[in-house]
Amino acid sequence: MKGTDVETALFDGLILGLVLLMVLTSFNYGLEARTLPIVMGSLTLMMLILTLIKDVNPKLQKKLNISLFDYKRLDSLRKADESEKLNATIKAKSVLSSITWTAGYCILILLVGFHVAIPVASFLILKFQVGAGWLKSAALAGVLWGIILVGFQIALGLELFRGILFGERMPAF
Amino acid sequence: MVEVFVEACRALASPDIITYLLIGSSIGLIFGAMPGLGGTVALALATPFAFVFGMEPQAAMFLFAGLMGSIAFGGSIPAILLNAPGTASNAASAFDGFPMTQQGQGAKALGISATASGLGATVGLVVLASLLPAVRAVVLLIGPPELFMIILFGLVAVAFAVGRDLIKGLASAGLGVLLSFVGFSTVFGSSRFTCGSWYLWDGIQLIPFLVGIFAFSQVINYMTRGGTIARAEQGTKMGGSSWEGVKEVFRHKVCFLRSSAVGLIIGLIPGVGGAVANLLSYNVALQSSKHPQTFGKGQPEGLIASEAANDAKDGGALLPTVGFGVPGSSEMAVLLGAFILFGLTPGPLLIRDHLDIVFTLILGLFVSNMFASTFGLLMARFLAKLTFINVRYICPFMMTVCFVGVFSVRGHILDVVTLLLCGLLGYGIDKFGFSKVCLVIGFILGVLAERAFFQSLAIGYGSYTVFFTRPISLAVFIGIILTTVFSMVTMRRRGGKSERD
Repeated sequence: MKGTDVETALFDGLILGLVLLMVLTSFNYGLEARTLPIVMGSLTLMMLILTLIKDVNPKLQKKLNISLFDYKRLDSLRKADESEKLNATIKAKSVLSSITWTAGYCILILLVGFHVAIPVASFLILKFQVGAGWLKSAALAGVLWGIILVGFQIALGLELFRGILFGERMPAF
Repeated sequence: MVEVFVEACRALASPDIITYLLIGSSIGLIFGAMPGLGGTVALALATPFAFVFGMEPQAAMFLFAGLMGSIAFGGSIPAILLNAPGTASNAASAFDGFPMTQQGQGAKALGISATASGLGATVGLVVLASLLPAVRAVVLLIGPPELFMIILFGLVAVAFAVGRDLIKGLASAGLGVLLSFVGFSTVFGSSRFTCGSWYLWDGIQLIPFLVGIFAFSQVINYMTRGGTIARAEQGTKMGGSSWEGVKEVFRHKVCFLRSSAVGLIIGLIPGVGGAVANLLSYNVALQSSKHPQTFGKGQPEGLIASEAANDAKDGGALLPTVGFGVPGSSEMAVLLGAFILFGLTPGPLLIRDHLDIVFTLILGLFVSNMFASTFGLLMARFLAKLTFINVRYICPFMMTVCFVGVFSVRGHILDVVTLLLCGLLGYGIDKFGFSKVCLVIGFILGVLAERAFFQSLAIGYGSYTVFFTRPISLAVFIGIILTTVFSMVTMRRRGGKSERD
C-alpha cells in the first residue's frame, strides 16, 4: 500500500474502532435506550467495513467509489486548483507539526490561562511556525492579546480562565 | 403573515439592526474572499460571539443573514480577478470570469457577478416567501411520525447527494448520529456513552462541535498547507465598465432565470449546497447555448449561470431548514445550531411559533445581497488582495478566536478540549474523504430523530404501523424509497456509461 493509503486505512480503522466500541457499549443499556444506537451503529459499521476494504484494495475502489452526481464531468470543466496540488504534497511531518502546535496551545491555556497563553502561543507560532520576524511576531501577538483583553475582559466583563498554575480549579471531569 | 413581514421591515429600520447587518455583510465579504473559509466557518465563529454579546435572537439572525448573504459574491471576486475561487460555490465563476479579466474586462465581469448574484438571491427569496404559506399549512399537520420520516429522508438525501463517495457519506452521517446519543437522554432518563464523566453528562456540546469541525479543522489545514492562495501577483487591473456588466445580465434574461431555477431546486435538496449548484448550472447553460464553443473564453452567459444559481440556492436551502428542521446545506446546519443556542427549537413549529425569525432571515438575506453587490464592487481590489496573505498568518488569530469564543459561551474550560478534539476529527474527516456536512447533519438530527421515533411509538401504543398508516408519514416514506431507487439507477446507469467510454 502507498503511504497515503496506509494513513487512510488507519483513519478508517480508528473510526471503525470507535463505532464498534459504541455499539458494544450499547448492549449494557435498557431495551429502548440501546435500540437506535445498535441499529445506527450496525449500519455505520457495515459502511466503515466496506470503506476499509475499498481503501486497502485499490481494485475495488473503482467499483465502490460511487456518487450521485457526475463529478468526473464536473471536474473536467474545473481547472486544477492550485490548492489541490499543494494538498497532494503535504507530508505527515507537516501534519504532525500542526497538530502539535494546536494541541500545545490548548495545553498552555489549561496551564497558564488565556491571558498568558494568547500572547505566548501566538508569538511562538508566528515566529517558529510561520517564520515571521521577532518584531512582527511580537507586535501581532500583542495586538491579538489586546483585542481579546479589551473586547472580552473589559468590554464584556467576561472572566477568562486563569490557568491551573495560577490557582484556577479545573472543573470535575 | 403580512403583519409579521411588516414587523420585520420595521425592525430593519433600527440603527442597531442595520449596523449588525452591515457588519455581518462586511465580514461575509472578507470570509467569502478567503479560500477555505467561507460561510460555514464564518457562521460557526459568529454564533458563540453573538450569544456571548447578549444579542436578541432577531438581531442575531440579521447578523447571520448579513454573513450568509454576502459570502457568495465575496468568493466571486478572487475567482474572477485571480482565478482563485473564494469558496467551492464560486468555482464555475472562474471559468469565464477570469478570461474576461485577462481580456481587460474585469470590471464588466464583476458587474455581471454583482447583478446576477443580487437578482438571483432575490428570485430565490421571493419564491421562498411565496411558498411559506403553503409550507405553514403543511407543518401544522406534522406530528412525531411525520417528523421522524422527514428527518430520515434528510439523512438519506444528504448522504446520497453530498460528496464523491456514497459509502463514506453514509458512514459520516451514521457517526454523527451516534455522537449525538452521548449524554443524558430525556427520553429514557438514563445516560449513554458518558464513560462516567460529569462533563459528558450534557452530551457533546454543539458549539465546540460545530466550531471544531468547520473552523478549527480549517486552521489545522492552513497550518499544514501554508503558502498563499494566489500564486503570483497577477495584479488586480479591472478594465471595462461595471454598468456594461449590469446590462449584460438583462440581455441574457432566459439564461439568468433558468440558472436561478436550477440553483433554487438544488438548494432544496438537503446537504447538496452551492458547490454543485454553480457547476450544474454552468453545465446546463453550456448545453443550452447556441455557441457552446465560446464557453471558457469569457462568455457572459457562463458567469451569469454560475452566479445566479449560487445565490438562488440560499432561498431553496432555507426552506427545508426553517420548514422541517432539515438543513439544506452546511451553512444551514450551523444556522440550526444557532437556533438551538438562542432557544429557538428547529423543526416544523419554527414557522408556526417564530415566523418573525423566518422573515428576519429572508429580509436580512435580501438586504445583505444588495449591500454585498454594491459595496463588494467598490472593495473588489482590496478583497482580491486578501488572497496574497500567507495563510499561516491567519492561524494564530483564528485559533484564538475559536478558543475564546467557545469558552465564552458557558465558561467551561473543557469545551476548549472538545474544540481541539473535534477540530482533529474534522481535519481527518476532510483529509480522508469522509463528509463533514453529513457528520454535522447526522449530529444535529440524531437526537431529534430518536425523540420523534419513541414519541411515535407512544402514539401508536408500541406499534410500528403508526409510521405507515398516517398519509404524510407514508408519503415521505415512499419518497425515501423513490429517492434511494432513483439514485441507485442513476449511479448504475452512469457506471455502465463510463465502462463503455
